[in-house]
Amino acid sequence: MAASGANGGRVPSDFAAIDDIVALSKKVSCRFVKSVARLGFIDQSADCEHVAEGTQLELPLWMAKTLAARGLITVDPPKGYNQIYREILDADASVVDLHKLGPHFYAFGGHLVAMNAPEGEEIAKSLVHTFHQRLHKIMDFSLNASEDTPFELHAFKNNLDSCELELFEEGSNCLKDVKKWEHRTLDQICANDMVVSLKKRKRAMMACSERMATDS
Amino acid sequence: MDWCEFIAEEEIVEIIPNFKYDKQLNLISGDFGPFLPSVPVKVPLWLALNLQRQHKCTIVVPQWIQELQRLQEAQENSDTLIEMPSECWREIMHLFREQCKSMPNYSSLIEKRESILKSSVHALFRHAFESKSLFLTDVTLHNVSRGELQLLKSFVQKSFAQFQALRNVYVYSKQ
Repeated sequence: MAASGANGGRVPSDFAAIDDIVALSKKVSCRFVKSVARLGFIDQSADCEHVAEGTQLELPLWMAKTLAARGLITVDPPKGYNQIYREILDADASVVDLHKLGPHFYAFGGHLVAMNAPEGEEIAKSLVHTFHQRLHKIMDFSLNASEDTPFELHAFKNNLDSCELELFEEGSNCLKDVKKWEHRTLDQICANDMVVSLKKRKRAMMACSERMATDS
Repeated sequence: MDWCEFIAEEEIVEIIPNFKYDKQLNLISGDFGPFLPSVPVKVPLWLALNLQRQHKCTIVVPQWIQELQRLQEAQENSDTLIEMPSECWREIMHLFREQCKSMPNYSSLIEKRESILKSSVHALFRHAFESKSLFLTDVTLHNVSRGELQLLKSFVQKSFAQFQALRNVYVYSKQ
């Protein structure tokens, strides 16, 4: 947290949030611009005590963040954030599978921008643009979706980033609640699913024991 | 949504009782009564519904429900939300529909208002996207009721927070 605190806490990140931890553990490719003494242990392929200048390594973002803050490495924008992908996202973000690129696409991008990665401004701009483009569709799908088209819904949900999925679930839960109220299913008492399955099991066990009794 | 209905049950309606009760009822929301046969009296909706279930009164359908057709037409011709006669019209309509079967069909009214609301949310996000700074001024939404907001509220809340967080990252990255 010290690293992000140093640059003014730009990203609203929660230190203990599991999504944030997962997002930070994704790897980025870094290049050392200085040789660093006694850091050889992070490069397992080289059997050397020090890391030489120009070494290229795949490091998790949380480590890259601290190293970059000290000016030891430069970070290449990974797939999904580089210029080619930014152009794709600008053209039509709604067809891109962000789950495959992420699944914490926005959180990771936010951290990337916060550590002053090259092209940071363009990345941030593309994040905003992507979210805006996709949000309209998410809203339409989650607040209007019916059970009639489960396959399309499923395919759509598979393309969502984790935070988009959270929003989607929020929307569809709201819709479900309102529907429940409208059809008056809220105040009907019904059996818990677990109890129902318990009964089935009991019945099965009774049938089994009866059979054993007749056998003997 | 169920607590919206709970609040809506406080709405005052007129009933015609068919029983006699000389004293007043002192409730938290006010004093009601006395009840005399075939003398109209005003009571909260929850009490009216309760009495009707016991066949002790008939509820006088409010004027605005009878004028629903007119409201529906007015909404159909308007691009913005029109003012509804009651803050909790949707909940009240729902409660009334269960009591009397001969209610005018108002589903197109709900649908039209819902689609206006949704398009205004889309417009809000577009407005936020186009504005340069983080702070948005003058976002107003007229004539929307509690029950209608229930569908959109938490979704819009969360997605707008997320959107602003991303915009925050962008605005800072420019400095």
